Amino acid sequence: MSEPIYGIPSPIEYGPEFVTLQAAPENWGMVACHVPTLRMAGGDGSGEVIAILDTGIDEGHPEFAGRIKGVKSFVPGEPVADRNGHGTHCAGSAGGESTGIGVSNKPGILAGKCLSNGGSGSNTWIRNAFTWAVQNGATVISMSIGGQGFLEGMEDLFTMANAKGIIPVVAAGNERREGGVVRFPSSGIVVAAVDSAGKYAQFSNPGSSGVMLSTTAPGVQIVSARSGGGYQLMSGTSMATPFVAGCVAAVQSARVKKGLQRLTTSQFKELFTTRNVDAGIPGPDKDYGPGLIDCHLLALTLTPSPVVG
Amino acid sequence: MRATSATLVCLLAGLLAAAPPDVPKAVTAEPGELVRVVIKTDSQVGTLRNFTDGTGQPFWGELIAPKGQRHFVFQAPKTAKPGTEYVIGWWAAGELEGVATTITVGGTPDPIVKPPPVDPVKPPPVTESYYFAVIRPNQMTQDVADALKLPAWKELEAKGHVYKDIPVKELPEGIPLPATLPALVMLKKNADGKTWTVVPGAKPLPTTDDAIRGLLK
Repeated sequence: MSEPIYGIPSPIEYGPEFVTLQAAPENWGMVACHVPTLRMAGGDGSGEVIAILDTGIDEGHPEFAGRIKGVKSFVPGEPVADRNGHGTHCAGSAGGESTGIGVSNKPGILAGKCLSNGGSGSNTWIRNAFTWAVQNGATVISMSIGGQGFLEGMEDLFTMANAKGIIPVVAAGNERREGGVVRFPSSGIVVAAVDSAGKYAQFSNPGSSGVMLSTTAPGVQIVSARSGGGYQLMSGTSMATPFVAGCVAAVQSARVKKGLQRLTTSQFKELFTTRNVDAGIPGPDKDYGPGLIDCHLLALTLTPSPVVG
Repeated sequence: MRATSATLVCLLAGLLAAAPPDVPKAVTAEPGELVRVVIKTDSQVGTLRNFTDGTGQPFWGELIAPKGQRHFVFQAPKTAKPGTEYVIGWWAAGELEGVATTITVGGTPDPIVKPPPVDPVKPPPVTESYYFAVIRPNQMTQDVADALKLPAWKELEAKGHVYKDIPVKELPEGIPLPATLPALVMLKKNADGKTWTVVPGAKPLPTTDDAIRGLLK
């Protein structure tokens, strides 16, 4: 019996490519979600390692210079080099060096290639890549992966990762279909996408009683690193996922610098329920979950609450 | 100096053996003014040299009364500063005990020069630090988020104060739940530097920079 095929959440919208830019452009989400405020509070991702489980990475892209901690391909017959572009784009959003590209711009990066250059992969490749990331020091695992049906065996892997304090971040998917997000265990952070107007993306899967959305993040017309050099626009919950992975790494790094305890996956999800800015109908809802991620409000959590004496 | 001068008068006059003359003990002279000092004695009188004006400057030369004269004229130097004292000792020939006349330069004393007034040294600022706790519903709304991002909060932080939003579910023990939300509860740092005391009376959440700046007034 052949394994189910998973891959890049479809449809993916590709935009213009910027190959010869002198300076990196800026992801609009940086300003919309107040990323610089968190960065100024110490949230640059330093000391964290973000694993990008995707189509590989362009190891030579300047956005990752000196910070790639390991690469490995789990796709038979394909080297880790990213001939698709999806993985490199995601890696750039999570941890690109340029402050307008990488939400956290100082983390180490692991690139586990579990989707082929054609953009698809098997359950086994994904599980193997996940295990490799856990074993190689990942503190955040970003998985912009879609497909039909539940990913077999991921429940145990997520449980193992959470027990180790590793934060899995997964895409809600692009089918705009209720129940479309059930491919991942609910113990991960599930990310939906919004556009620059703050409205949920037309392709972004809503949550359901089975898997609630953990947060929404910028996912439409996102500029990031282009495999082969330069930059390009892409849209999808795939883009929102590394954005949140970068936020998680940034918060963790800031907390470590301030002597605060690292947060667990469930604590992050709880944090999003109280610190995300509500959108849509008042209160948590299926389109936005608890609302749009806000790094300014996350930075405020770095201040201890007062002890009344 | 005056006491020292008098002591010298006594000591030096003691070398002579005669009753002291009767002289005014104190005379006032304006700068440049001539004053006449009358000495009443049946004996010859002489002046005691080497007195100074209290500043170390000798004045004796032209003031020495001729031997046997019953009065002498003193001119206070024009440059003499008001208040300057000139002490002249007298004795009668053959007498042991001498007496002294103190001539004080009058006029308006120079104003006492004092250092310019210095602003009273302000006591070191009381290191009062406030915690501005924004108590809000658990769900973050756009208007509360906007209020929390006003630049004036950073100004307060730069002055050593603290601000933070606190969802109701995370309300610390000891902070009373305001009647309406969102609300601002101010706490003042205690002397231990670690704990805080609630300032009674919750305030509405400030929604402008000026309102935030006004919180400390």
